[in-house]
Amino acid sequence: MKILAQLRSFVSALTDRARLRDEIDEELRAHIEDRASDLERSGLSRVEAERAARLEFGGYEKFKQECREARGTRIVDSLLQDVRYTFRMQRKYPGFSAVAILTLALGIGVTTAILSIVDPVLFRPLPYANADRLVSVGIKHAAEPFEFMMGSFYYTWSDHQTAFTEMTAQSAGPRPCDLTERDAVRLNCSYVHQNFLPTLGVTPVVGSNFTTDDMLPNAPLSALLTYSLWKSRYNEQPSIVNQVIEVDGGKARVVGVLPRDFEMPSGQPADLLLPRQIDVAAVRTGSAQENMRVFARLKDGVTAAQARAALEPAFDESLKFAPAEMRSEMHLIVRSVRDRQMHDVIPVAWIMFGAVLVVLLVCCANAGSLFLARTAVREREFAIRTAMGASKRRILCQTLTEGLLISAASAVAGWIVAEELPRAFAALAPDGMAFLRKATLDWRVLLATIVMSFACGVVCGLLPLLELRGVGLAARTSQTSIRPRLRRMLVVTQIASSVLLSSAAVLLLRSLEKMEAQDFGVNSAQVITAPLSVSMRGYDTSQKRMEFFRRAVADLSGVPGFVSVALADSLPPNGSRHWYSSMAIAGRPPIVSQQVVGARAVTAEYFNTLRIRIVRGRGFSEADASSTEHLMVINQSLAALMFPNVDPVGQQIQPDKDEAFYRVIGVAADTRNDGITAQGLPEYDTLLGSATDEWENRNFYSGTLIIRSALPVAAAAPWIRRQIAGIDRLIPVEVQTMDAQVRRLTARPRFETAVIGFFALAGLVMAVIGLYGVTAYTASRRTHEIGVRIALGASRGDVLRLIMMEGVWLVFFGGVIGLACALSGAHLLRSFLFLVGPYDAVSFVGVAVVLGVVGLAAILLPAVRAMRVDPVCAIRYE
Amino acid sequence: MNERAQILPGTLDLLILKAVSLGPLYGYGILLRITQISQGGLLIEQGALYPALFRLVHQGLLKGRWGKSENNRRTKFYELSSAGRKRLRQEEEGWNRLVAAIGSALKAQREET
Repeated sequence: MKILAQLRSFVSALTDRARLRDEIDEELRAHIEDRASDLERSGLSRVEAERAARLEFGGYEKFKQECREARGTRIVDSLLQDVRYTFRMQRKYPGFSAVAILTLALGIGVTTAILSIVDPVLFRPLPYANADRLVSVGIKHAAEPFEFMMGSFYYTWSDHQTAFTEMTAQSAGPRPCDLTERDAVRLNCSYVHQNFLPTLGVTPVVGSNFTTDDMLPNAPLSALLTYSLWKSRYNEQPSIVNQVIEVDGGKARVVGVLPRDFEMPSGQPADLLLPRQIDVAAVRTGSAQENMRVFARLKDGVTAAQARAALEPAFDESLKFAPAEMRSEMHLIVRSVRDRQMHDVIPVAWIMFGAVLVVLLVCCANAGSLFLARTAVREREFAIRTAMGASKRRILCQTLTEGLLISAASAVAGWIVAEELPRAFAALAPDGMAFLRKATLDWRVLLATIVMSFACGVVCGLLPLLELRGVGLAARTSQTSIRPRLRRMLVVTQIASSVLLSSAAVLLLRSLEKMEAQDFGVNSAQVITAPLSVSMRGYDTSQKRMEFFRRAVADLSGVPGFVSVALADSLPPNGSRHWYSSMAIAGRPPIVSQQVVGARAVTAEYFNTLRIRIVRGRGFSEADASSTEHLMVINQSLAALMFPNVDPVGQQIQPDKDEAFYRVIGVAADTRNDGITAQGLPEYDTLLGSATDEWENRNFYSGTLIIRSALPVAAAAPWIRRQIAGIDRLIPVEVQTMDAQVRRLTARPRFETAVIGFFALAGLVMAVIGLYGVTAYTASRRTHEIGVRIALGASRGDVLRLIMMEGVWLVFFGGVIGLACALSGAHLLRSFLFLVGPYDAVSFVGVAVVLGVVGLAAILLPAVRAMRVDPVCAIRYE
Repeated sequence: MNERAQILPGTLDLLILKAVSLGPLYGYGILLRITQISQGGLLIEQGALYPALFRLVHQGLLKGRWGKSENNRRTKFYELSSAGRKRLRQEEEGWNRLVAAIGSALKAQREET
């Protein structure tokens, strides 16, 4: 009741504010006049009576105000007043508003954009039930980026484990497969265990999961479709369940369709899930090899670390079956699925997140110092308002309202920036940065933006008061020169932040430069590459595969303008890895080593096409290709490792336990084979010739055609496509220059550098503007003083020095603080840097020099202007 | 300036409620009524009356409507709402208890302590 009445009175007060004011006036005036009439009756004159009545009444305006406030509308009243006032101010100083809004919008926009990119990486919920309880379990070894599991281990472990409610597995790696009914397409197939979906907490939207019978070896094949495949191929028809589709030429019955948001916890692409039909008994005993990725659901209250500890005994037990020299290099890993998925992205995300927070800080500081600058102009206004009876709180509310309104406008503008920026970033980073495309602006990001802009608004709104607090307000009615201490602090912050960002950017840039200048040991100019792969269906025997690839090479060699054509299973700077310890040299004891070596299977023209120098012996020839002898070329590193004192040529090497011995015919110069940033590995190259066992051993389903030709890609591509289509129309061909392909490898560091560089530039520009602003401000504040100095005989040079010294100190302090922060944080960048130390002197000195030059320019401009002041005008100034 | 408002509000509210309880009154009339019923013993800053009136209306204890004063001026008349009547009873009891307690405390003799 009472609350209702209050609400009604409040609402009516709000809606009828003007009427209310008049009514209060009327009522109070009636009182005074009544009183005056009474006094008049007691003998005073009318004029005296009215005066006395007014005196007795007390502060008319004050009580009137209190009456209004008694209705609970004060906050709204003053808020509306402040808002109106702010709008008036902004109209009066459009320049200030525009710059403040732009600055903040940049800061908020960039931060929002980065948040929207980083959020899915660090915080996005994974599409599984209770995803935080899901872990990836496996063995980590230097040879593989991700943890893996041997089938025999898996079954023993899952028998005895106590930490998980459920443990499941998928086969390692997706396998290309073909949907061979009408319009054949190449798909990615993943093989999973029966409890795979239940463990993840995923239920098919249509149909059901695999049954245990589906898992039996030689059971009729069944399949689960992903939503996108269901949509694109089968029109989302529920009748797809129990329909038979054709996979790799075989029949498979569709049992269900996966949810729209389903993704493999391993992050690998998948269009079809197939049951992994395993002879469990054979895998258990180790008589059948099975490479797996294992995922498990933690029991309630068990952490990943505890689960790891619980698995340790089983791991130690299993390790006894691993080759002795590998044991110490193998580690047990239990980590959350998110960590596994984002394993190399998380550091980037944090670095970007950190950098963007620094940018936000710089933007906020810039906007803050703009507000401060204006406070200085408005000192008199504030002083007068205080003198007129405005309470401190009232002034605070007003500046706060201004700050919040400006920041709200910036948030809106920033949101637009945030929508566009990830698109620009994504365009910058063509491949391998899939997480960029997951950038989404959702309500959580929106919330963060609102909080952020609110914080900025509060800071900007309150800073001026901090400045004013120092000296009594009453003293400000006359112009006094306040020392812009706070503004200087802000400028120092900006300079320090931009130095921090610039150092990071320069380090990354130098690292990128080194990376792109890497010599892979090959001449990639005028080399065109085309990855080719065949399906398991049409090419089920190594004979068929060999025929296809050999014919492709032969046919392309006949194209006019193609100087030489080769095929390899990998291309420098990549390569496949192999255990040195599984190799053997004829007439020598077995090799005991932890070493990893690179392996490559190539056709005869490989060295020739890539212009790889043969330093000893000879390379492969066409004649070698048609012989059945097993031949091998090793690189200089492997030669030094295996045959430090002997001539390698003519030696016999067995690459793996049950393979033939290969005769070494030559030693080639080293080429990169372990990625762009790693030092190269010792490497051997085997010849893909006319003997099928080599194609069989290398399990050759896919490789890359390497073509040396002066033709531009656009001209060469149709030739290549035509030739390949002439052999098999269904094989997709993608043609690229080798340089373009190599450049894709540096896409990621290039992206990181561009982003941080962009931030650094933005930060630097703002710091310079801030520096310029504060110098110009103090210079103009001291115009009078300068005039007096000049009149008293100070030289122009003295004046210049006077004004500049201040700025120089700011640059110096900012620079030193920034460099100190950069140096202390540089180690965080270590994993991003290549051939550049985190304490790279060149980078830091470079940043300091650039800052010095740019900073001096920013100071010089206003200082020179101050120097040119006409003393007569200056003394009259104010 | 603000001290008075901090000390008085409760008492002033009570006095206003009491004054109005004897019949609808307008602002100046309330002032006169309080002077009259307190036999001139209480001095009220006249203007302070109005914020208190507005507050009481806002709290739903008083109802206001426009009418003509004795001097034939348009002004607002106040009367108790049922909530106001209840509040007045409570306040009176509370006040009396307080006065009695303080009175007996002040009358206390040495031996009683």
